[in-house]
Amino acid sequence: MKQLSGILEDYLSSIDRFGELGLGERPRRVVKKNDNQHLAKALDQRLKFNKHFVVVILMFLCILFVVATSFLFFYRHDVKVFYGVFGALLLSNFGIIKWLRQLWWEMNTMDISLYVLRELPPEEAAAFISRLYWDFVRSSSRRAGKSVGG
Amino acid sequence: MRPPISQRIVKPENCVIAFGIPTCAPAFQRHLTLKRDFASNYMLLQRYSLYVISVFDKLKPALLDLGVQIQTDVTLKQFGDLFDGKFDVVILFAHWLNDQVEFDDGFADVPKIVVEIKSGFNGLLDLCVCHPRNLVAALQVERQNLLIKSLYQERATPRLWLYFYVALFTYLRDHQATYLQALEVLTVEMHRKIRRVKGSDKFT
Repeated sequence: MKQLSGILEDYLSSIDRFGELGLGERPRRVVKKNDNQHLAKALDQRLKFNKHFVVVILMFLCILFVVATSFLFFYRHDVKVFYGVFGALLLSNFGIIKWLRQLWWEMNTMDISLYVLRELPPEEAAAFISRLYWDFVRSSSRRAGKSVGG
Repeated sequence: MRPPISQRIVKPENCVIAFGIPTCAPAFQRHLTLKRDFASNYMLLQRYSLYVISVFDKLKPALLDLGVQIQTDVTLKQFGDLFDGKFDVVILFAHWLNDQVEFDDGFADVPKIVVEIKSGFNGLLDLCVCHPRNLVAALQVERQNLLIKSLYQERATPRLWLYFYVALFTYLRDHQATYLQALEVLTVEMHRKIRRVKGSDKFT
């Protein structure tokens, strides 16, 4: 399943709003309703996938909590194991919550994009998606350590 | 009497690159406000910055170290002033649309550009502008001392050509060569590398 940045890059490429431009003349690509419908479909799929993924992560978080609590209970007299398990639990929770936060951000972005794609005229929606990608999604995915386009 | 440009040894100090396209964020924003075509095609600063401004900022020191003169935000008048004999080669980085070149002060059509280029100029105009057929044809008739290099096949993207010119000026600095010889060597080398990359892509 493609990342949000990948989905938006494909859409922007298809409407000539991604990548490098030559110095010569080029015909202006008019954004059609069909282009936006394709993107809405891709975002819908990704959104569903993310929702399921969040459930899986939350389940994993619960299992982790139960396992760690059991370990803490069984080794409650061993200070080293206690601290070790407690530290590992904190660290793994920190990682998972960071991941959840990213997913939550992605899902919100997709929700907004879907609303815009369905409610605004194609050109205006495309302008919004371009700005959203270049101002937020690209910088956010770069911060998350993924290389995007270009 | 100076030999013709086709036989003259050219060094980077005798060359100037004139940018009609914006090379910094404020210039891009200004072009956007003025609804200039090239900036409007890019629409967003982040996109333009990634493909043009950041590349220019990265390569500018190398070009200056080589001794090349760089003129940014060039207007039609300033472009014309570059043909006063101080330089052997004038390279123009600009956007071309409907038989017009977009300078910092807007589009200029072929007759206006021809008028600005002094008839006595005995050098080379390197047009890093896509498909400027009518400009080349007009200059060949009106300015017979002028040698013109232009692009017809390749899509001129600023990033590709900026790197190309760094290589070209490095070659000119290190060799006793005419501009045309350097162009030929570098173009052959570039095509060889592109073929090699494309060839290796087939197997990966």
